[in-house]
Amino acid sequence: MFEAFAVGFGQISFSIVLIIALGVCMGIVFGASPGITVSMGMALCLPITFTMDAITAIAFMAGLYVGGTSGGCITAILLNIPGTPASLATTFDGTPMARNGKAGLALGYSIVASFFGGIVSLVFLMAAAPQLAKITIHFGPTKYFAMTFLSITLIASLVGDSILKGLASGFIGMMLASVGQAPLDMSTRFTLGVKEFAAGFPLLCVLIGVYAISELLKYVEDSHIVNGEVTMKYVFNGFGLKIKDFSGQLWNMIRSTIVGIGIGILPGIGAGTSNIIAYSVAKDSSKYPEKFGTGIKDGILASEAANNAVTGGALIPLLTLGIPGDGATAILLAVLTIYSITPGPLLFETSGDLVNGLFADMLVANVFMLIVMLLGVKVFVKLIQIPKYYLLPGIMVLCIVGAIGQNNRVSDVWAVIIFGTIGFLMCKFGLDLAPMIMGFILGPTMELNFLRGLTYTGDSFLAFFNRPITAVILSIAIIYLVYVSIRNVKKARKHHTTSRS
Amino acid sequence: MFKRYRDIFLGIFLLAVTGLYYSGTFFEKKLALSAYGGEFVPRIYCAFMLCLSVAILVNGIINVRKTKESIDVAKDEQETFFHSRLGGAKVIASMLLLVCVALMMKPLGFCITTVLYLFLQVVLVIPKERFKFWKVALFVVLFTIAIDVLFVKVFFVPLPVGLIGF
Repeated sequence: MFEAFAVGFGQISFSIVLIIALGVCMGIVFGASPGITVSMGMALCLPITFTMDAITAIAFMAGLYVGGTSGGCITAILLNIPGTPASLATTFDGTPMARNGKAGLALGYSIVASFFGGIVSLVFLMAAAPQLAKITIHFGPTKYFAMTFLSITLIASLVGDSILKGLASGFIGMMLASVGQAPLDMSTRFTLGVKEFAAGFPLLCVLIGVYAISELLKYVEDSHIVNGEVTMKYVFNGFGLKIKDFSGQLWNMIRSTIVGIGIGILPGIGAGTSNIIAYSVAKDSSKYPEKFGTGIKDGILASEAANNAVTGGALIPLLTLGIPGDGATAILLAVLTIYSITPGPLLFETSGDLVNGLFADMLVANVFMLIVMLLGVKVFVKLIQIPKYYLLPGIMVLCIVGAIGQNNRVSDVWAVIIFGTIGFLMCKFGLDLAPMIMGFILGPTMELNFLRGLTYTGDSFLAFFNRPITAVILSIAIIYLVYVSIRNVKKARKHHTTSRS
Repeated sequence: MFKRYRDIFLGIFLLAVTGLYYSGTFFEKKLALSAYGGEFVPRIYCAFMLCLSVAILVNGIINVRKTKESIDVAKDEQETFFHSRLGGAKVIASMLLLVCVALMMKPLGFCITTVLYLFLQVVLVIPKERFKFWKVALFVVLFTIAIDVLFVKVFFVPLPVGLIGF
């Protein structure tokens, strides 16, 4: 592990350090701005990487990822508005602490907890990922099919309230991904005679359209209600952190980090869920649960440690299987694809230096995040006060640039508009976007491995279950689907009974 | 009314999409060497989507019947597709602006298209009391120039120049 780290560090030059710092700063601004998610920010910055080499591009994206995940705590604490869903639970105790005159202390706790979660999850990533890759390298098409099937069912069932809608969203993604060339025989399908569709929809356009355009359209709809400006009421006089403040909190942070890593490994879920679960666990395990929500450090430390721990965890399925752990790692997958690098178990053999470089980049990014946020939080507070009515149209322009920049085709703007409309309509009908994105990304892989698996098993799908590991994974997926369905039905019945009484 | 019958609308819409998608599988050319053509897995998707669409539709009908007597019904009856007429008009206008950008980008070029688009988009979302023509115009022009210089000169990402040459 240390040798790999040394190799990775060997790639980091002064220019790479600057690029990481730039990525972290931009990520913090995106993360701190309510309405702009980490995934959206990373999708918008993708065009900037087109002229970089692979190592630089990955370093930049690593900085954005770490900075974006951490930046949400600023507005969460100062405005009671989480900058990203990953900082929702930070508002529960962060805002009360700020209102009690300890805004600096609350921010300090958040920053230190974010650093702790990020570093510990990175160490776990470096230790676990190569070992997991040695296992997954032996995965055949049946196991790969089972893993992608499990990923899509997990995300469909864990996100949102309705498993039916989650699965429908996933299938919409898979159907959209089937446009273009079939994976096995390369026949073109669903192109409607449009030659630009022959290669399918570009992943970048899908991500920009779904993550950015649909969110911006939602803002436009309510723009006459929402005030475009934010007002910060708190004045800082330093953070006031002392080492003894963290005594008795080490186990809280470790436990929250473990929650974050575990949630990160589960494909498609991400930091938005981890911070809430970690907060709930911290509250349930606390000797003074009644104090949660009044402005105590335990809640802030739990939430922020967990959300940054997702950054390491989410990279594990991406690097070992090619399955993104969350939306941000889906963007990282897009970056790797642009450079013709296929993530998966062979990545450690064919591009081991790149992987080690990524580990080193994440470490540098976490260190920069700590330094930049501790020293520069006042600057970021000023930056996010840019009125939304200027900021969001500007972001729309960046989306257009992103669409054109990849293939130098104006027709890709149409793809962004189409997917933005699809994303907006899906939100209106209560369909979550995350399963759709996962379905889009994993659909072709699932189809290819399914067809190859059928070839290997002599056209028998039931023979998939003759392979023990495949059978276990498929059974877990099916059992979990059934369990979540029953749980949702019981919840709906209970809600109906309660509302009637 | 939209919120109350949302799942019914969704179920019907998904059924229609599934039907169209299924009909699209008959237009593929199957290669003689391939045991499974490109239409095989899409038809499996259609089967699952058919079941899910029917389930969502049935679920929607059941929920409508169950919540007939609920006090939330009156509130749901008032909810429309867009939160307000003004909001809906703004969303449609924004989408039309994006369509115009896609149409005009090649003939007019990035700079002129962006200036026009940005100005109109800001006018759509800015509160009336904050609108000052010179401020908006200044922001629009400076932002467009900054993006053009940044991406073309610094990041070497070519942007359409249009018939006028910039």
